[in-house]
Amino acid sequence: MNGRSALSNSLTPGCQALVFAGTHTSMDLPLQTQGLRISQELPPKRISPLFQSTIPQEQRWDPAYFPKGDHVVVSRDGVFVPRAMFGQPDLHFVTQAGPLGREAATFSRPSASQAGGVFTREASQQTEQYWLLANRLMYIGKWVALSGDSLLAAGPNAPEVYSKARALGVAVPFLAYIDPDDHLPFAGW
Amino acid sequence: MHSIGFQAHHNYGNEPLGITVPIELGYGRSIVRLTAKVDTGAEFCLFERGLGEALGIDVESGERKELRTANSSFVAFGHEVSLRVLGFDFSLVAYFPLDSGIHRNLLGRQGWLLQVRLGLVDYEQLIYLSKYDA
Repeated sequence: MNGRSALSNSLTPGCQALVFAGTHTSMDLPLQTQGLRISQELPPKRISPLFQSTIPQEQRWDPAYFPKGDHVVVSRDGVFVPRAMFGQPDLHFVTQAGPLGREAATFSRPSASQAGGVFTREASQQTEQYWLLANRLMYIGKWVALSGDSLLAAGPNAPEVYSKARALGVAVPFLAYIDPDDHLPFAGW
Repeated sequence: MHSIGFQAHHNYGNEPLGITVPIELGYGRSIVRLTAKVDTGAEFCLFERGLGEALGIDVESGERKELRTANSSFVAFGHEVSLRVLGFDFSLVAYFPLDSGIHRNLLGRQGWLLQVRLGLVDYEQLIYLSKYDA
């Protein structure tokens, strides 16, 4: 390549690396790829004979044993964790009637108002952006406090809106001013 | 060939807000979540006055500084705040404008860009981030 840099993207779990290829060999810097790397061993796809003997055929379709979404089920037969939840913090649980009259504990993610975790807050921030796009016309010129897709408070005074949101039990609300000029492209400063 | 490693990335989507990241801005025990623009052209981090007041900051008691824009200038006041961006924590002096009608939240050089390694692939709406010393 002549004076231009090619950009490629090499992803490993927990670490993203941008690789720049160029002609500036005299200025080569030491590689800085010491980002966090996590060795992730995936379970075998084939169901082991031991697992097959533990779970009877009729339970294999029972959501209490094979939970979906954000629920982890603990029962006499073991702990059942959806793959999407591996490694996530801030789980809480409730006990409820499980299959065949047994009690089971169900773990789930706390709501945004209960959470202190960064993961949950950042996940809810995407929901809040959707809310802003859908509802901005109703709140132009006002501050809004949100938690996920819930409007906690709105008004012209930011401290008041923030205080109302906190009074509702949301420790870290999302706060935004609905700018009437948001539809115009930003030209920088 | 140059290679840079990053510990976090964020898809900012195809939104009119532009190249933004979700952040948490803290002062004392008060924290607020908001969206801020990554602005490599800004010398300082700037947040709306209303946000500072919501956190309990006495805005005009801070370090006074005049900042210029493309066609004008304005006065802002610096305060030491905490910032969390994509899971990374920062302590920095951020500025809050005197004029409560300025509605911009910017992550600029002093205090933020100087503390990170930043990668951007706008075609994919992806921003990559690590602490500089990570």
